Amino acid sequence: MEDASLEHSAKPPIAVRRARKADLSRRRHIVSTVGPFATLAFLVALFSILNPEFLTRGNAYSVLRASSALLMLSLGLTFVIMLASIDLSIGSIVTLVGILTAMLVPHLGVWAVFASLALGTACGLLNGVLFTYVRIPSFVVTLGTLSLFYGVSLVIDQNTAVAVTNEHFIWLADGTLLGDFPNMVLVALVAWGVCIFISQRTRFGRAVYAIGGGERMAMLSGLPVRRYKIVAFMLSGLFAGLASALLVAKFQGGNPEMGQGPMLLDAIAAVVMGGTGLTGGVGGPHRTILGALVLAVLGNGMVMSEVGPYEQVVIKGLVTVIAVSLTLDRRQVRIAK
Amino acid sequence: MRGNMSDDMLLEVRDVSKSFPGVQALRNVNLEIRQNEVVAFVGENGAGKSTLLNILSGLFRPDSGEIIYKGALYEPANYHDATLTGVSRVFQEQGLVPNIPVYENLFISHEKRFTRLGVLNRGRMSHLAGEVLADAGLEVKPSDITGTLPFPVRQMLEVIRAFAVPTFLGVEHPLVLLDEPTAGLDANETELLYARLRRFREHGSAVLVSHALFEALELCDRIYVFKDGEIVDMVFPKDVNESRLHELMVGRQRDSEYYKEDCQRAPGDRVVLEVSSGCARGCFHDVSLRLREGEILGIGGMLGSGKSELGRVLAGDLRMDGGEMSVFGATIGHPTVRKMLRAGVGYIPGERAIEGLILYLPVQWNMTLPIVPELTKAGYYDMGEEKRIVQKHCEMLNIKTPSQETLVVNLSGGNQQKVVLAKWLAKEVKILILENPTRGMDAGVKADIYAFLRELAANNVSIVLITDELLELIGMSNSIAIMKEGMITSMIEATAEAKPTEKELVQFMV
Amino acid sequence: MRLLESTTDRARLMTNVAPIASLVLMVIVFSIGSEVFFTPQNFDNILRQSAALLIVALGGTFVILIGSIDLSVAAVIVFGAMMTAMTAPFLGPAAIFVGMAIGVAWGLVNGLLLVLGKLPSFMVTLGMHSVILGISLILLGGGNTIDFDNELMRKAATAQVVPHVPLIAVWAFAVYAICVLVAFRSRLGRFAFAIGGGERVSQLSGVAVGRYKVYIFMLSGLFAGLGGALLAARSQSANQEMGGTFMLDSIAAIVMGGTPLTGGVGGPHRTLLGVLVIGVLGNGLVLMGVGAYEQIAIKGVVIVAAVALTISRSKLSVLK
Repeated sequence: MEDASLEHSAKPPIAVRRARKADLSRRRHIVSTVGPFATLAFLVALFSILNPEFLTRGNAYSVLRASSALLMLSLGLTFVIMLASIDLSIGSIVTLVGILTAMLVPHLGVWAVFASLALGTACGLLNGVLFTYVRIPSFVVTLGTLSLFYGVSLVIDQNTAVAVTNEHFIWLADGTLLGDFPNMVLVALVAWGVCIFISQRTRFGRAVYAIGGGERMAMLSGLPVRRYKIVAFMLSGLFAGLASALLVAKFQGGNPEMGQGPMLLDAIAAVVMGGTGLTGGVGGPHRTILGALVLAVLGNGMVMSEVGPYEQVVIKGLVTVIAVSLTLDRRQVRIAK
Repeated sequence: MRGNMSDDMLLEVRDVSKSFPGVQALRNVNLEIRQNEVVAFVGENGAGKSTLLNILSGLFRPDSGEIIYKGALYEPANYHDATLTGVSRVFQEQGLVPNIPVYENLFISHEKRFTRLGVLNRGRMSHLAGEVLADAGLEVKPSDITGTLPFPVRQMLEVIRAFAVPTFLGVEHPLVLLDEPTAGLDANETELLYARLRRFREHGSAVLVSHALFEALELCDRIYVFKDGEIVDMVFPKDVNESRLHELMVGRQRDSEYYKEDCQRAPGDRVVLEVSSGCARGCFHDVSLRLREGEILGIGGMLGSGKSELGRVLAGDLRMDGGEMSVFGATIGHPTVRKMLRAGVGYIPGERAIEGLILYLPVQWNMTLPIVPELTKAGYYDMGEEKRIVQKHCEMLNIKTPSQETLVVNLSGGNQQKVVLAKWLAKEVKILILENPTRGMDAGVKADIYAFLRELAANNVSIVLITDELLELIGMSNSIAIMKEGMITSMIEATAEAKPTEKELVQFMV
Repeated sequence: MRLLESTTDRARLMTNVAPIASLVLMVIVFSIGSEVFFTPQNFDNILRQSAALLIVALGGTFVILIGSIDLSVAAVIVFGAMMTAMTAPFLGPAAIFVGMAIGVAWGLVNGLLLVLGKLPSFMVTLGMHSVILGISLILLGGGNTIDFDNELMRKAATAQVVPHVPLIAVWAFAVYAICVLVAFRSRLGRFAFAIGGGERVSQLSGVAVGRYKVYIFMLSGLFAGLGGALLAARSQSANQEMGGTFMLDSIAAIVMGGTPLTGGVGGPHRTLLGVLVIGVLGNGLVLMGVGAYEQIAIKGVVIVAAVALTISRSKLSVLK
């Protein structure tokens, strides 16, 4: 140890023999810290060369806007993934909440956003309760609710789009409260700050790390594991609801496909790329912003470089698998199922 | 308040029983712990000590009976609940979360005390942890990530946590449960722990569970002896010595008939398995051994001595980082389970339920798992032949099962272990590596297994017997290797005529 | 540990009785609710709709038996159907084998990623679902449909050897019989049960765990490819919609049949029952006038309920 902070102990201190293991985990740490930055820099450089239009102010804003919805969506998911669980239903939550929000805007105006938050949280609560109290693995629960939420949204609006014309509500995403910064980006940044606060400065946040790192031990130590797991799923739903509300504002309406398709994979990829491995216990929401930026730059760059929409689907699938495999802590998975 | 209690009574266990499917873990246990007293629980593996600790720390609820703690009925809902009333514990299998800083582990589940208006004051946590660590003389930064610290340091941290939490919570008359706290610690660290325990005793009580009997004799006021889920005796250290205590624990002197020592014969000359300067990083190094035909080679050592890892390397389950291994004279490079099996080496791991048997498959399927390829002829599985083989081995090993299709989970522990044995007999292995083959079994089954191992040895099967039970080690082995801190420190001949004593072995082990 | 005390007996009862009970109940309800339900023509319908699902679910059963999951089957079906449709003009009925081969290839990729990359299967196959579907969209040129015309292939799928029993159902039963034999009378089957029941035990008993996992994912790919090929043969076309709800339906069918997601118990012989439950459910809901959208929601509930009732909680020490 470089500096002994505890010189005043009278008894002979136990020499701390660091295990080789520490080096390994440091190397992994470096990969997952530098990796996202390097990828981002590489992508920006690549697309700037491919297309001179890429590095312009206008395009920068569209990247930011695209990444802000993804960021909100991935923030809540980060807590779930830190628990080594998964929430596959967030895309469908976006759809369901989006359609309901769009229907509520004429009645509630701008306040409909709170309904979105509540609805998203309720969906998350359902996931969490099924997961912890009915004791079903999270990926099955959320695979089921993915279908359920999507089906309910189709039933509600009979597979049609619901338009929103309320200008106040649209302002939520498109307005510029601060300079010419789109509000949507602002909201995403605030959400980001809130999540960092939750993960670093609350009991729940710290418990999430402990549960993800050693659930059995956390349980033995007496942490209310179940309750915290439900809270994590509720946060996942809450932020999916928030993302949904802003997407409705941005696209001036909700439609039954708004959360389906690549949104789920993008969110998982963003979380994992930021450095929150699927094995849980590492990373955190502060890192997810990088993953969201990488994904947004990738998406934007591919469009600008005229990569076809289907090619994009392929590339994103590959990117997800690669990101997962780079950040997975294999010492924790003796058995891959 | 309850009546009929003396003033300094801290905790009273009354008629507590607990059973698990197929096992009576505790039977009408009665004991008491006074204030400022250190008592020891001693007993063999599976005697019920850990079950009682689990009940005291809120992980299990007793089936019947009651516990009185500080004059009130004590029924903690979980471990957190137990700590609030003053009971804290050192877990045998490391109860620290690896990926979080030391200070968070020290105060885990008590974060509420550092929270104001929902905001967690991590600075204060870290500062207080620093004081606790300094007080204990452990040179660790509170911000160090727990998993990166070496094993002994983590072990010390757990002990420190157990002592510190009641103080931090401000509970009077705390009770600390220490489950094998010194396993894996060196002499220096052990001494530090003892000093801490003696200091703690001035304001609290402790229970010490230990396999090192001298610890119990040296540190404790009274000793409860557990055997088969019951307390068979309560003794004072001044009245007994180590061997007398051991006798109480196992309830018998070493019985040469039990281990069929008269059937022990000198091994053949042919070396069947040889390891030279074998090394597995972080587990053991420079280990050389030779196993001869028909020999039973015992390997003993404390927890963390590297003996079970040696077994796993011999089975090809753990990577050998250096040295050479040869079976029947043929060198095996980069041993894997499949290579070792092909060479004729079978492995019976210590964790029967996780590594030895597939609990939710039938007896038949389990027994023939290694010989599935042999039983498959032209792509079609020969079930008639399977039935014959299983039948033969059930009779040979006296396995009591309702039918071949019975799920293994429904058999008793002894019969389960026999199924594991049968698995390798059906494969006709020439070398067998066993780890704690009789753990948790009753005397009858043990005798069956011992007799059977003798028979195998007589049929020129060579056996490596890795075990925690000293009597078994002495009784069964032709020669004994003692491991300590990852090295074989001594080789002891144990011919049928001249068996070493437990005391001699223990001297080499610690 | 109190947290882990099991409810195995109840779970076993549920697995044995639940699928039959729910099948009987549904038949009664739908017979009362719809005049058309209990007719030979509708029997034909149910068989035709269930046949492809049975084939796909049988492959999935082996995957679930080893404790993994394959979320990419729908994409492999599309890919298999597409390859069959593209090669049918040149190869005729042999194009079905192209669909099967390409399915095996995707299964191999999934399996290798799982085993060599040590990635959780649901993640691998979720990512690969996207990759496979994307590639088939590129080859299809998006929402286009590839049509072909081959009478022999149409007959191979739709001809009725026995009245009201289409040939595709006969194929499905043949595959079913083979799978049951494979499960109980072959090395692969034995090892699948063993790996799912105790991966460490299998490994220590000398089972080449990794290799057999790859084989099993290849098997899943093979059957998904075959399913796609037969669907293409039946409709004489291929498009991106063919994967439909196969992924959720097959998982639901497998789990309902009595092969819980925890692996190691159950088997393909039980999947038939699960497929019938799903087939009858889908058919009956349509006849009762329940819309397609409601069905999506109902299926989500069914899958969660089926898993909840059958899963062996004693084997899930830590729930993730």
